[in-house]
Formats: sequence, C-alpha cells, structure tokens
Amino acid sequence: MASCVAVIGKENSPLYIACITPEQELGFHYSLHTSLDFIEEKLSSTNKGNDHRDLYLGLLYSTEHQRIFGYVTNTKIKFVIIVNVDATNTNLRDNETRQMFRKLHVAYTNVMSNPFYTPSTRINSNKFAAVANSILAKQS
Amino acid sequence: AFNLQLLDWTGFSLDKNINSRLRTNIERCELSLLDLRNYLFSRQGGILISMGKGDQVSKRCLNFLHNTLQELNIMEMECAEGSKEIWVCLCALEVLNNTKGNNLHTAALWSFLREKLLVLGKLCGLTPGHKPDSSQLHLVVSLFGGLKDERYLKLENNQQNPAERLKEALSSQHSFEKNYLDIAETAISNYKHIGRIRSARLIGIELAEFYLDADQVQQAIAFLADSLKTFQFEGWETLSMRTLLDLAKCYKLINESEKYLRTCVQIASCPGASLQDREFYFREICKKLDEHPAGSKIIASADDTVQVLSATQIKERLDETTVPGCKIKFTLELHSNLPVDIECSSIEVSVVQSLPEPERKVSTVLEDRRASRRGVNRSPSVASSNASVFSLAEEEDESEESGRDPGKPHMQERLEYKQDKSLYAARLVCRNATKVLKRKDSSGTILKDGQLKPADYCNALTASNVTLYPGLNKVELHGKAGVQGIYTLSQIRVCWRQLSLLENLGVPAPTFTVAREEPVILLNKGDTELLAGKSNKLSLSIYCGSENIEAGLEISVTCGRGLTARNAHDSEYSNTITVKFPAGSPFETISVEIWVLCLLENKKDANSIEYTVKISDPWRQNTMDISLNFMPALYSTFNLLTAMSKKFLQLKVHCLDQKLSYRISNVSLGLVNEEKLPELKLESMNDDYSELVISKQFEGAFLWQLVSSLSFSGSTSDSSGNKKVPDQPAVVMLTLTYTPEDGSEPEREFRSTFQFQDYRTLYTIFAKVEPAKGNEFCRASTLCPMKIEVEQLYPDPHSSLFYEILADQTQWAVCGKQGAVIDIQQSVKENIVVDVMPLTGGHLPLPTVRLSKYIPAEGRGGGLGSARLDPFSIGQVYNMSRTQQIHVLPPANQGQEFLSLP
Repeated sequence: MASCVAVIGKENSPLYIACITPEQELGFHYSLHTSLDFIEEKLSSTNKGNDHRDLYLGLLYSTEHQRIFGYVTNTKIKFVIIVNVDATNTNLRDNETRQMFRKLHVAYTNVMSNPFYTPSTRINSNKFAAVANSILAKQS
Repeated sequence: AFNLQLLDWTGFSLDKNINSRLRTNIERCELSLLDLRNYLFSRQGGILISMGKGDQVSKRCLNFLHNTLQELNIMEMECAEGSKEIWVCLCALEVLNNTKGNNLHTAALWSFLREKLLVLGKLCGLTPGHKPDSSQLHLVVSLFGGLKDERYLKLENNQQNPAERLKEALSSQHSFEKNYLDIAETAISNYKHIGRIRSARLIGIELAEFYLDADQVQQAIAFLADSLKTFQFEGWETLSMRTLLDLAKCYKLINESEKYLRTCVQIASCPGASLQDREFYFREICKKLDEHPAGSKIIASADDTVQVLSATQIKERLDETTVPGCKIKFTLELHSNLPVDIECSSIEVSVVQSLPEPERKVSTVLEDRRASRRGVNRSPSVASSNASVFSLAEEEDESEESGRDPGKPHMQERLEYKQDKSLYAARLVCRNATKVLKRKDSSGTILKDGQLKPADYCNALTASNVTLYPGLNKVELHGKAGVQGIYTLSQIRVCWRQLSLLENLGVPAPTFTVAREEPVILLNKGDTELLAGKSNKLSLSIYCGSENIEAGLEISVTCGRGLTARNAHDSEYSNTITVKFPAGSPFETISVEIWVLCLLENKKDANSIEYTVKISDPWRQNTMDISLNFMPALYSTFNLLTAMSKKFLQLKVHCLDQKLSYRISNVSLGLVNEEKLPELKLESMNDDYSELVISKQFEGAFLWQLVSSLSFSGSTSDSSGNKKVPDQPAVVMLTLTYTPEDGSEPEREFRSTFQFQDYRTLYTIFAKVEPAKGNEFCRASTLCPMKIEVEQLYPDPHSSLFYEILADQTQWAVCGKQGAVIDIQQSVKENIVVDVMPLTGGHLPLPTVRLSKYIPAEGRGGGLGSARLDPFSIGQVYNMSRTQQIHVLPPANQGQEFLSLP
C-alpha cells in the first residue's frame, strides 16, 4: 500500500527510512525532505491555541504520482508515509492511513523503550523494521 | 467519443466567452473527456474569481491537474507523447496568469509547470547539450497541432497567452532555456517566499543539473552548495552525499582545486558514502596534494573527518595543581572517519583563556562563606514568585559567578515563604541558565567552506608526527601552562600534509585551570637543637612555588631582644640583617645560610628559651613571626652546704650540648654586695685548674667556703645580743669563660648570680640514745634514755625554742614529753633527756629531733595550742646525729628464733 515509510527526528534528521523500490530511494528521500516543509507549516498553524492537536496531520501534499501523509508525535517525532498513486489505490481511506501511523507509533514507542537505544539516533531495530515492512508490503 | 484517442490537448481558459463556446460543444455532444473537465474547471474557476477567492483557483487547479491526469491513466486513453504535458502547462499558465501575486499554492503550481516543461524540453531535444533531431522537430509540430489557438484570447500589451508562451518556449533551444529558467526561478522564489525552503532546494538541485548540462558550472555550484547546507544541517546523509558528489564533479570541472580538496575530504570521511567512493576521493586528495606547492596551507573543516570525542587532562596526582609554566598533558580521543591512515605532522588544540583566576586574598575564605550563604534567597511574600524578582537577583549575583566554571550549571535552592512565614515553595534555580543553555551555533555548517578561521595556536597543546588510523585514536597532547586563569580548549587543528583540518570544539568545551602557587619562606634549623650561647647555623629558604625568582631578592630578618644574626659572609652579629637570595626557577627551593647567636645569661636550669624572629615576606607584604627555641649550652646550679658552723657554696656548671664538650676557664665567684656584708668572705676550695672540660655527661663542680669573720666565740660575753646578726641576703656571681672544645667559637663569658640567706648555723643538735643503766647494749622493749644537746652558735632573737622528737612508731615509743619549749637564753647549751623505748631489735635510726622557733601567742598566756611554731631555714640548725643508727638487741624474754637483725 505505502511505498515509503520514514521516521524523522525532532531536529528533522532522518531516523529510519524504508521504501518499496530501492532504486527509487533517492527520489523518496527528496520527497521526504520536502515534506518537512509541509509538516512545519501545519505544526505552526495548528499549534496556535489548542494544546490537544491531532497527531495525524493527514495529507501533507501530493504530486502527480505520490501522496504524502504525515503524523507528528508530541515529542516532535515525525512519521511520513508516501503512497504511490496509481490505478490500484486511488481511494485510500483516511482510516487506513491513520491505522498505519498508529502501528508505526506503537512500534516507535517500543524502540524508545529499549534502554540501549539512544534517542535521535538511527533506528536499528528488527522489530521496527518488520512493522515498517508490513506497512509497505500490505497490498489492498 | 468520450474515451477515444486524445486529439485535442488545449487547456482551459478562464474567459467566459471561450467557455461558452465549449458549452455549445457539450450541448452538441461533440466533446472529449478533456473538454468536459476543462469546461467544468473553468466554470468553477470563474465563479471563484468572481467571488474574490482567486487564490482558491490555484489550489484547486493543482488537484484538478493531478486528478485528471490520473483519470486519463485509469481510462487508458491513448494520448500522444507529450500531449498531457502540453495540457498541464497550458492549464497552469492560464491559472498563474490570472492570479495576482503569490499565495501558498502558486508555488506548487509553478513547480508543477516547471516539471512538465522540462519533460517536454527533453522530449523535443531542447535541453542543453542536445540537438533536436527530425523526429523531435516533427513531434513539436504535431504537439502544436493539438493546440487550438482560437480557444485563447489575444492579450493586449504584447502579453502572451498560455498558448503563445508555450509555443515560444518550445520554438527553439535558446527560448526554451530562457523560459524554463524563468519559470524555475519563479517557482523557487515563490517557495522561498512562503518559507518552503526545502521545496525550493529540491528545484535548485534539478536546476543545478540543468545548468551543468548548459555548462554553467558556477550557477550549478551555487544551487548545489545551498542545497548541501540544508541537507547537512538537518542530517540527511544520503542527500548531502549525492550533493557532495555532484559538487565535487563541479569543482573538478572548473578546476577549483582548494574547494575540490575540501569536498573530497568531506566525501572521503562521510560514513554514508560507499567505501569505493570514499577511497576514490581519498586518492584524489592525495593526488591534489601532490600537485599543490609544498609550503601552502589549505584549511578545511574537520567536523566530519576527525571528531573529537573527549579531551581529558592527565595529572600525576589527583590534587596536582597546574601552575604557570608547568607542563600540561591532555589525552584526546579522536575518531577519524577517513578510510585510510594519515600521517599527521601535528595535532594541535588551541587554548583560550576564558577567565582570569581570581586573586587569592587572605579574605577570600570569608567572602566565599558569605557567598554560599547567600545562595538561599528567602523571599518574604508570595508575590515574589514573579519572574522579575528572579532576574533581579541573578544580575545581582553576576559578579560572584566570575570564579566559576562557565560550562557548569550553577544550581541554587530557593525557598519562598508566605506572609505567615510558612513555606510556600522550594525550587531549584539555575543561575547561569542563559550561559549553560546557550544555543549551539547552528551556523557551524554554513561556515564550512573555508571560512573557518584558525584560532591562535601559539599557546596550543600539541602532538607531532601522529598517525591517525580509521576509527578511534588516542593522542597525547603536551603544552605549557600560561599565566593563571581558566582556559578553554577551543579549536583543534590536524595538520596533514598541506591540509589543516580545523574544528571548533563543542560546548561545553573542556577546560583546565592554571593556578598560581605562592612562594613560601622557610626557616630550617636542621636536626640538632639550637643552643643559646653559641652560634647556630640556620638555613633560610624559599620554595619558589610557581614563581621565577630573580637573583638579588632581599628578605630582611629581624631578631627579638637577646638574639642576633649575621649572614654567612659577615662577621658581626646584628639585630637586623638583609639576606640576599640567588635566582630560583619554579618549584625550586633556594636557601641561604644565616647564623644566629642567642645570649646566654644567668641560666640556672635546662629549660629552653624562646625567641621570635620576624621575616619580611615580599609576596604577602607582611612579616611573619617565627619562634625559635634555644636550649642553653651551659647552665649553672648553686647549693649552700653546711658542716657544723662552716658553710660551703657549691656551684655546678652543666652542659646541654649533645655533640660538643666545652672548655671552661677563669672560674671565679665573687660577692656582689660585699659592701653590705663586709664580714663575709669567699675562699676557693678548688684546685688550681687552668681549665676544665665539661660535656653533657660531665658537669663541672666548684666549691667555695663562706667564711664569716663574725664568730660566736667573740660574742659569748655579750649574749644579750647587742650585736645585731646581719640577715642581709648575700648575692654571689659566678663568672667563667667557655669555648667549645673544638675551638670553633671564640671564648665567651658566662655569668650567673645567686642569692642566698640564712647562711649561718644558729644551733647544733646532738642526740644520743644510751643503754639503760647497767646494760652494755640497748635492748628492745626496755626504756633507754635519749640525751639531746642543743647548742647555740650565734645569738638569735628567737631564743624560745620548741623541740620535738619524731620517731617511727613501729620502731620507737617515746615515753614522756615528745616536745617541749626550751629557753636557750639562760645557757648556750641545753641538755634534754627523754626516755625512749626501742620496739624491735636491729640497727634502728635514731628518732629525729626537730627544732622550731616558738612564738607564744600574744596577750594570752599558756597553752601550746595558741602558740605558733616557725621552722628554721635549712642550714640554720645543724643536726649532728642525723641519720645515726643504734644497735638494739632483741627483747630479752623472747626466743632466739625471733631475733631479727637488719
């Protein structure tokens, strides 16, 4: 379903990036980096006033071939999922993306619970990778 | 015809009239999918514009374009190559022409337009470095064929409608380039305007590629460098890696060798790059360095190449203080990211003095205590919890912080009380929060390009000829401490061939403190006792501490009364001397010998004498008092001895010197107050030695007889006591000269005076126990008469005497009066007989007879109880029978076995 899953740290450096097609990795990196623009925009506009914002930011932006969704935890960890727009999944339900992000968040929390993991370093966990891969591979 | 081949790719127009033309087409059912979409969107756009929501149009347009393209895909419509791109470009241009200024969504639309235009350019062979071939020219013509000019309004003032502009853009390579760059720049500036820097950078990357194809390397470098900054700043390794590789190619192309070198260093040490790349660029570095002139210096950032993990000062001892001029050692843990070992000619760390060490004063201790007590601020009311009070307090204490390590948080407890003085809140406050939490300089990466300035390396910690291996390295750095203060390690410089890799050390930077050690003045006496009356060698030394002491430093030594001193080269002793010191380097001890002589006068015991020496301290601007204890070299003692009526003066001279013997000579004793006591004379009983050697073990003893010309025999006739007995105290003085036996010292004189009184024997006592009548021996348990004879030798105003017989009660039983008053006035001699009984046999000491002056109580007669007894002084009564013993036989009626003999 998703073609790229990424975790970006609170200082905007990538912590984890996985994508379906390794040959397109560079392109995904660019897309992910660009998505930070939109995340920052959304955060600065929604943060005013209400403390309890939805962690799920929804669609950040879309290009001809991709839709990029974002999710930001309270500790400013960003999850970004890129979905390729093609004939197979034009209608991705909002619920489904939320579901994916929730799974990712739980997995990330588990990584953080590991006392041997230093926060804001690259995530090197098999379990986390398994969850990310399940999101990537899941075809509807 | 709805989903047939796409023949017409004209974009929509936001003009009403043209739209209505489309509408008639629709009514006539002569329409394509694209026509319908165009019509719907242009209607929508028209309404939005008339509602004044023009900015919504560009937002919806982007979605509309995406969706329609998707739709064409899904419906698998046959489209000519490039036709969809033409349509997108036309639509985008139409909207952008009709929106004023820029809003959030125009940037994305510009970017989309740019993207599609580039695709078209590539299709038609219009991009730089290509030449359109005939098929591509043909493609342009056929693409223009599906574009209907009549659906666009002719614009006034030479403005181009979308169709005209697109046609112009695709007309030639040159105009494509011009239009493409124009659109791309607009997209970038629009992105920058709305703050989407990263999106702008992404376009910049593509633009750089374009420029590179157009051989405009400088332009490409500008865009790449910008993007690199953004990527590196946020730690996107893959992206920065790619950009670095591109940059390296650019620099190589235009032969910017220094920048190329720097980029190569970055690539070679980037863990994100492949090993091949890293090794390749490492070889490139070596090649470039070979080309460079040997003496030149190239500065590069070491941020990623050589990382400083830690810097620790090594101290021999834990409490070692670093003082000015002393050696400093640091261990540096470095992580080299280069793929190959490098031989560094030197590794240096520059040192910056951050704070001068506060002057150590005598009062510092006091001030410190006050400061720490001030730590707890007790605010009287709740109202003080507002921030202004805190800031005020912080400023107030700013001055106190000067002595602290600036890198460490300075936490303080703060208690707050309500008005009723109950605790309201307790908090911990970081007083130097602004300093500790100072934002790290994020611009560090931006400075990477040669702008990193080398720090001052003249006082640096250095290590030379170090090989840095890939991975962890430990390097020992050496340096020399400067003046006192707190120093911060600021920057590291790794010199490898012509390259100087610089890196500013992060916050908190390691620091070290250089403290000053004050010189200390010491006065040493060596391991022997100081002796009064003899010169003693002392050594006055200065432990230089951290100071360099110049030759000729003068220190004055002032002695207290009775003490004199001299320099080793002088011969005269004086009270104050000035001692000159030779030069001394730090941590050395320089010493000068001085001699002190302590007066020895009238010393009669072995107690030491304390003297104070004042030494000026040029560093503390004061004087220090040192007390010295002197043992007397010699002392004398005096004894008045009596033998019947004769009196003798015994004087002993003792020596306390452990080592030396002393030669004493010219011993004489004289009466000091002769004129008052004309009848007294001293007669020496001493052999005529010229000198006597005394030492610790052998004292010298001398004897004089005190001869009184006043004799009792001459005054017997006048017993009434007309002649007054002089009882003036006599004062004698012993003088002698002494010198150590080894002759090391000149002869010195020793004097001591003694005073004595009661130097006449007034009475003699003779006591005797006789056997009972008819017996040859005394026998225990039998009464024996004890005869006591008291004789007056000199007239004494106290003629009323009291005698007592004191006996050991286990040995003697005194029968009869144990004591009685006798009046010696009637006769010069008085005989007393008392019966005593020995209790045991053996040699028994005689009972003691004690004679005292009897002073009857005045006014009241009678009774011994009210009278007073005054003892005579020693020597006034001479007891001839003292310590005499008598042989007593055991009692007669007892068996032989009880006989006890001592």
